[in-house]
Amino acid sequence: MPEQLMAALGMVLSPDVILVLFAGVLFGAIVGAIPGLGTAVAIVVCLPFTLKIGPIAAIALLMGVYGSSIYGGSISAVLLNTPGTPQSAATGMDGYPMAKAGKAGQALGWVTAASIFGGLLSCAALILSAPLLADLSLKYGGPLEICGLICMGLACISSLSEGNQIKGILMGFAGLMLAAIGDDPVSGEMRFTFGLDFLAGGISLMPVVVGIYPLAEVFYRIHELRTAAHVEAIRCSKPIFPKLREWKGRISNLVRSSMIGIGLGILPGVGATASTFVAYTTAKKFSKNGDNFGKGEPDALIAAESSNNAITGGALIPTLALGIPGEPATALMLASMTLHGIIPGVRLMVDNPDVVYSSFILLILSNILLIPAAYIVIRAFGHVINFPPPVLLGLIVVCSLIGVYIPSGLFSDIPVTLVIGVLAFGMRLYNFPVTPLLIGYVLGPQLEFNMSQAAIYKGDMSLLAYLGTSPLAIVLFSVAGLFIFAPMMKSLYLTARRR
Amino acid sequence: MHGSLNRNRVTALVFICLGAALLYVALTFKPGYVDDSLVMGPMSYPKWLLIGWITFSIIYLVTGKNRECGVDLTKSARPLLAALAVITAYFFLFPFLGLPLATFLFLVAFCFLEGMRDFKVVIPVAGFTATMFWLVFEAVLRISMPRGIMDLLG
Repeated sequence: MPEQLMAALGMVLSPDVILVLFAGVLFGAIVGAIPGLGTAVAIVVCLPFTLKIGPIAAIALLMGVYGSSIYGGSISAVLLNTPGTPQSAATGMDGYPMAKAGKAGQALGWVTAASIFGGLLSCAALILSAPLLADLSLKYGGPLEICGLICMGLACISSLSEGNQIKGILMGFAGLMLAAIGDDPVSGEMRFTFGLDFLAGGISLMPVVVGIYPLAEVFYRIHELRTAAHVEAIRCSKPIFPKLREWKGRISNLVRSSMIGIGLGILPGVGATASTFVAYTTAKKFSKNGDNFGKGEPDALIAAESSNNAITGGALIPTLALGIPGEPATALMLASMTLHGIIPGVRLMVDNPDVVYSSFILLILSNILLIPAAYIVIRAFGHVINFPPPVLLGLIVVCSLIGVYIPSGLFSDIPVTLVIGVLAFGMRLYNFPVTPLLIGYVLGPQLEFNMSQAAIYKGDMSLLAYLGTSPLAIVLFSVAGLFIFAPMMKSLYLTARRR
Repeated sequence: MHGSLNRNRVTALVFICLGAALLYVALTFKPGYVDDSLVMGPMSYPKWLLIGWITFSIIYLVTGKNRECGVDLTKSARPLLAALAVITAYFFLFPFLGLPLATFLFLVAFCFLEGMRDFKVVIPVAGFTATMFWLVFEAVLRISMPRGIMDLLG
């Protein structure tokens, strides 16, 4: 592993890659700071710029955006009391009271320091555990086990989706179905094309991701602009980092909250928002200043920020080691790799070690580059927040269109994008989560391919007898079943008891 | 019955009908050739997915209570429709007008329709943005973008 890390370091440490990474960090922090846009939109808007640059530079841009957008969300949480990303909601609970009390610089100092620490600790966890997990998956992962793993990941994401669990499951199925349109990967037969030539190759990646993220977001923001009230940001010119002595008694909180972020980040579907609140409530219980939580307590900021940034490394563990993304941002990372001819999956670390190890180093560097980015974004925040929404939304539409056009050069993808965008906006209005749809779409081809392989290995055996040959697959399918059916059973039981 | 047919249940019914129609397509599918060595046919996997989709749609139909209130689009319907129209026009005119001109016209129209009507700001912003995008993709990234009528103008 050290040799691979050194080789990756050689590739990453070039001026253009570092420049692209810093541009990504800056862009991610700015987009993250604009309430409502979030990490997924920032990544999709960047995708067209990655298509004609090398894979390492492309990953640098995406890692920069991924590593910094959650942090950007915390700047608006502190200065505006409106979290830029949902993951920063807990930060605003204590950051805004501090800012109102004239300590905006100090609050942002704690936020920046905790974010960087959480991010770096999660990088260490990623570097140590992803290769081990990838080795294990190669040793024990046949097609049946991979099917089990994908089903477990999808079940977990769908059932933990915000809102109605059934809606999450239905969206997961919709994503899998969307991926099944076009030619069958085994026989090459056309399916569900209805005589339309442009569907023969299936629905491409870019129309799906652009439709469900930036385009739907543009429609949603137009809807929201008519109802949201204007808010004034608190002025702040730079973060004021805490002195060493101010950390006394807070290190355990920092490490514990980061570990919570990493642990929950590994689980598909849990997400940074949940982990932030788990870390926040845990810190409140253990902190000697627990009574001050909600009134501007640095311990609260440390808990919220270290855990939400630690998610990044945690979430990349299953993504890079197993090819199973647990959240939209990591699903988009995997999807963008396919645009560069890199096949995600359990063999990713074996077939493309340069890409994976470079990702590790780029994530570390993106956390370090948060320091200069913080000075720039905090100073510019007043201008960023006052940027006219129609211009901002118009720019997102332009980037979206270019992103759809460049990979295929086909105009036929454009109406598909529009249809998906309008449908995704409708889904958002009626609380249908789009994350399971995206992850189902990304994992669909892998699931189908491994299912057809498993069907060949099964031969004349009955399904149960074949399943009996792999205890690991039984465990994975059981966990998937538990995730899907346990909440339903609980809900039916509660309904029956109420009657 | 009037009270029980809420928005959730209507959505579930639409899902069931869609699933049933696609399942019918999958069941009546005639492969171009039959390869006996393949255990799974081209429609085996979609059939399982559609059965799962219909099953969960039925559960949604049965459990879909009218707990969620509807979304009020009265204030935003007009700007939304205007945005949809101008985005659609941009997407379809893009190949004919070319990237710079289509982007410039789109940004001016979009900003105007979304309430930003100060043309002293809008026109320079739209012109600068369209030129920047053109330069970044054509000159820096060397990606050929549609030139549309710019080709006719030489």
